[in-house]
Amino acid sequence: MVFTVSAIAYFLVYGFTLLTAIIVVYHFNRFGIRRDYPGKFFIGALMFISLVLAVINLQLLGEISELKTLPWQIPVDFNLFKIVPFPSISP
Amino acid sequence: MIELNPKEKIILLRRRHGLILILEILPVALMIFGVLAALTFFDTNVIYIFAGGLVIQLLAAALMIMFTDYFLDAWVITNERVIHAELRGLFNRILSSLPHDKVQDITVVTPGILATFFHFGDIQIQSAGAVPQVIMKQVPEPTEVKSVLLEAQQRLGREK
Repeated sequence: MVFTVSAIAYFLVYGFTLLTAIIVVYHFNRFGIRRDYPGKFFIGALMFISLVLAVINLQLLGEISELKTLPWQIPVDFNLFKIVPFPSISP
Repeated sequence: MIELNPKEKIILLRRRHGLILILEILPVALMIFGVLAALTFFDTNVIYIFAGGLVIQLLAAALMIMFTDYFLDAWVITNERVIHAELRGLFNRILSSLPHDKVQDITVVTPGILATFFHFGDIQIQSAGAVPQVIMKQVPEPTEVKSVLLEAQQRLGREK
């Protein structure tokens, strides 16, 4: 149940993000005015961050799928936090 | 892109003051930092981290929309007219223009403390006839913009 809800939430959020990104790129190409490069840079940076978050959240979704009981009863310690700036979770 | 007439040249392009963008994105940025701080300082499990990641993602999408809205709202002063391009939401775009020879009055309004200290304000360009007025909102250095507008208007008058 937890995994199903998480998976639906993941695809809804990233579907919305992808749609937003496509519309934003379309707008900049179609209606762009001179000197909007800072805007394009910020949008590009946000898209890159979104991509990184999508990968991290996909890994987390994988972790959720492996949970066998209620999540608050499970002490989780996984290697993901060695590469992202979060503290490691101890039981 | 805004299409110009063959002999038309852009004199000035203005967007709202950068401070306005900062004030708009500040609450969203604070929310992102809040979520990151909560995930960092509280001992939490994978479900909450996942949920936090999705919230940050939604906030990042909101930032994308805000940047697009800011950068695609602009006022372009050419040697023939003032063009106002505005994006309201993601699917509502307004493009209006006012020729310099239709301009009757230009008013500069500097509302409030922030506008006074950071040198931005509104410029109301009143037109003659049925053409509605153009309001340049929160543009930096409004008196300078007004001078440019008056100069363009006078030059157009001399050429005609």
